[in-house]
Amino acid sequence: MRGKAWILALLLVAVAAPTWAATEIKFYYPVHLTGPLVKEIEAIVADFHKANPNIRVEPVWGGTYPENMQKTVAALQAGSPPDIAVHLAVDLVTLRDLDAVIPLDEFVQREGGEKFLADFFPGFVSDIKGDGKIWAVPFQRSTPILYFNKDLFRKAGLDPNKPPTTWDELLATAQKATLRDASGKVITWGLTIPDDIWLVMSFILQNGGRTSSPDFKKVYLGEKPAIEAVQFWVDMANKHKVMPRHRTFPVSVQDFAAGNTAMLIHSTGNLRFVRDSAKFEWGTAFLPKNKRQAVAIGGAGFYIFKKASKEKQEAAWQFAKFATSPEIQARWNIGSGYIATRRSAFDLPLMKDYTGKLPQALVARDQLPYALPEMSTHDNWKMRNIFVTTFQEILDEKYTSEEGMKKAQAEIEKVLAPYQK
Amino acid sequence: MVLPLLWIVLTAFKERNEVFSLVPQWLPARPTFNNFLGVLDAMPFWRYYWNTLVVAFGLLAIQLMTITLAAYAFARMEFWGRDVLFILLLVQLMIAPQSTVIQNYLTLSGLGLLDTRLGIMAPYLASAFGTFLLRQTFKSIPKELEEAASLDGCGGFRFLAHIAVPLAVPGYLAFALVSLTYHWNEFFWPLVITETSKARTLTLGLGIFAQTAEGSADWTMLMAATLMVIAVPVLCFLIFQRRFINSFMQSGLGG
Amino acid sequence: MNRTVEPGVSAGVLVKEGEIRVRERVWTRRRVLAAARPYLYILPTFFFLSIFTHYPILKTFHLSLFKWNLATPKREFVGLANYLQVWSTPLFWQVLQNNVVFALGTVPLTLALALALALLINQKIRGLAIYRALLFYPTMIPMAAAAMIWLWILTPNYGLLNYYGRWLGLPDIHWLGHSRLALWALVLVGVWKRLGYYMVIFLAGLQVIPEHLNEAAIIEGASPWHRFWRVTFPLLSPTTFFVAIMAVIDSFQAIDQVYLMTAGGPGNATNLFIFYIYQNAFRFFDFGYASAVSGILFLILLALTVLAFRMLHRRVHYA
Repeated sequence: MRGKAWILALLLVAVAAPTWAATEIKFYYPVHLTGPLVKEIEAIVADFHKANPNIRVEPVWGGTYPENMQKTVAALQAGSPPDIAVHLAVDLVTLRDLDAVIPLDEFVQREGGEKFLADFFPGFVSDIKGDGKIWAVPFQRSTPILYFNKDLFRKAGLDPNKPPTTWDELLATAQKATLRDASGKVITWGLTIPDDIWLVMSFILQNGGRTSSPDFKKVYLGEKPAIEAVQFWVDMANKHKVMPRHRTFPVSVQDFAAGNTAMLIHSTGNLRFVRDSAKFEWGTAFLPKNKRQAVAIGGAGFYIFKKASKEKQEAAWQFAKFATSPEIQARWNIGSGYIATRRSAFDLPLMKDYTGKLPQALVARDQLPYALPEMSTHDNWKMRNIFVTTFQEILDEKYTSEEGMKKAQAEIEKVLAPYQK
Repeated sequence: MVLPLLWIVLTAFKERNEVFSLVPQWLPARPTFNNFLGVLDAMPFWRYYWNTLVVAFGLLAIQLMTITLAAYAFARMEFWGRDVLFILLLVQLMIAPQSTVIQNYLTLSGLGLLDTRLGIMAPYLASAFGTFLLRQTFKSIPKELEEAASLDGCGGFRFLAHIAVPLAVPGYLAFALVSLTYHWNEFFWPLVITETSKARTLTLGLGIFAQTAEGSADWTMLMAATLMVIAVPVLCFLIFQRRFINSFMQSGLGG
Repeated sequence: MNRTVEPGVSAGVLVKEGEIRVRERVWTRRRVLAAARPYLYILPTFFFLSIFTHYPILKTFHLSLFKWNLATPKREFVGLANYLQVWSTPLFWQVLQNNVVFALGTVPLTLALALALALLINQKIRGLAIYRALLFYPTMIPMAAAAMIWLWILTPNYGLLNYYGRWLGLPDIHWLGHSRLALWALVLVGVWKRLGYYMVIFLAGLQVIPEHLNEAAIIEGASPWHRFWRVTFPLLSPTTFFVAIMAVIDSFQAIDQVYLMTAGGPGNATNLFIFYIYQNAFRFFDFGYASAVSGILFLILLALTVLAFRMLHRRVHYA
């Protein structure tokens, strides 16, 4: 009897096996808002499973962008990288240096090639191309936008429907909106910008400057437009005193939500947080221009890894395609504040309804025609670290803008030297 | 000294925006448990808790074995090279795992132990501190006792197991409390060695949570999370105060 | 005939060599076992120790002789080039300076306060246990939790510290964003955390001081101040110095609060050794360089340890 039972069991297993033989893929992703955003990702994965019963995605939250990158590199070293992961567009260089990811042209061709790509906003596709190939699918993209507190504007005698559009207006508005008490101590700041290189980049671009070369080998921080842009920022903090120094990325959003600053320059990815926390009337606007209207694109996309088997790569592509479809992108936009990467997403009734109720959400999309790729080079994180720490030292008046930027330029050139082939 | 603790306890029960006033309100206007619920929502708290229990107690169990044998040998046996080996042992006291992080990470990666609880325990399986402490204790057992037992047929290992170990219980206790506290609270090494919540421990979970938007912008939730993490060590401490303090005292004098 | 006795003295009879020859095997085997026993006992400990303590130290020095980063994904032997790079990197010297300042700030302050508190608490006062517990509990919580607590207290605008600062007429200070004050904020957190532990060590040390020495000094009319410097402190000093060195070694390995509170900023003002190593290894993926810095850290720790052991010897002699 025992023997027969075993045979029966084996037969059952053999019959059931095909359904077990679902392709499993491991998926690393970074989101900064663990409560709601992790749930959104898990919902996307669950919906994908329903539509694709023969693929199972194992989503693994990897922390913040740099942490997620570190996990991927660690996994690469251990010989077991993920099959698909969301990484910054600027991480493309590093991932290619490590020979970790595959170009996606074949998959894209299958979906219709240019026609497929045309539905993505051009800005989002421009920075994931290298050597004429496509290396990622845009998933969570963002630009910085200007948030402003309409109540505080009114209080300062400013028109709540006229946010500043140029650098001069920005300074003037900030000066008017900075409230001080009798002894001169600041009660509310006119403007807050966190010490983030992504935002400094935007200022440089607005001043007609350039940040890095398309071949990832050079930076242009020592040029006049870059120095002037930094000087403008530093003056707002130190000379005109309308901005606090060294606010971190998360603390600055908090300050805005708490009503401690009239204006905030920050990622559209925080829209949800502001929406949920602000107890005042608020608006969003383009970043003010100087010599031109410009803004650096940020955010990440799906990369598929070389080490995965052909089968897993195919499964990964299916998932990437699903998650970047208009419907899912619309949901993701609403849930997070990241800009839906597909044009057609904005035509969906779901989106139209959302943006009808929250027009602030459209600003980031409307700013896209002026969006330029983010600064990116080989050894990207080291380069950024040098840039941001030198920038902080300039803010602390350890160096003048010119000295500091030239110093950063020199140091970064040293880091990039091995790549100048 | 107690102010910070009191302040965070009160903050944990406040509503999110209440804390943004320029004049700190000590008592919450509308005490709420939402922050605690939010924390359970935002991180796999119970998994972290379980991982920490496994790591701390599992490690202690193995440490008890390694240090007993080693301490006994150093305390009561004569062997060639004993002093040199003892100094080699003490190297671990001066080089904390934070300094050997890179290589240990590479070693464990090669062994396939990245992102595992065993990986978190690995560098600590041998404990110079524990060996040192226990050696003191074993040394204090009178030689006559050992000789008498030996004549009665209870020599060597049996002496160790049946007589020396029970006599050294205070030393074990002291070590256990220090080791458990240290590993419950550890942050950096688990940070390096874990990648996902699979093996992540509580303290590390708190630290990572602080880097997320909820953690860094939502003070009330962060304080709730902090409270949930320190609740166990603090409660144990309050109950076993004397033992804990004595243990740490011994560690300072012995070390 | 073969006698089943051990060599040596047995029941008062000397067993001669020839008589135990057949038993020689047993004798030798048992002796070998007895000789091997200590080594077997320390084997588990040394097995793990060699893999996770000794080997990493050696391998780190070995790795430091290679270039291994994103530009050179396959290791390349470069000799002392990494060390030369460290030497010529201003940031390294800043990190070293930061750590020295951090140690000099944390250790004397902690020890002085701990000693003062220990002296105070050593009196037979009511509620001693409560005071001791209140001062000691920070030792029981993770540094990560202490970091959270102080992050909150040090926040500008609505942090507790700034509130009381404003009360006293001071301007609002963004402690962790201030390039000169941030490091001292970390010192503050470190002191708060370890105060209770060192206090308890001193308490133990104080309690070992024979009461009669103090009484003798009182009889001779010595003031409390005098008593402290002539009797208490000298008897305590070897412990003090030893603990001080261990605290300095600890402060060169500080990381949790740096990672969680400042990430080395602003502008590398709070970049300490371990953070710098972590940054280079796990953010910039430059393992060769990071290993060189680790190697230098080992040498510093070695020097401090040798110093500590000198102190330990003095202490033993005092006792």
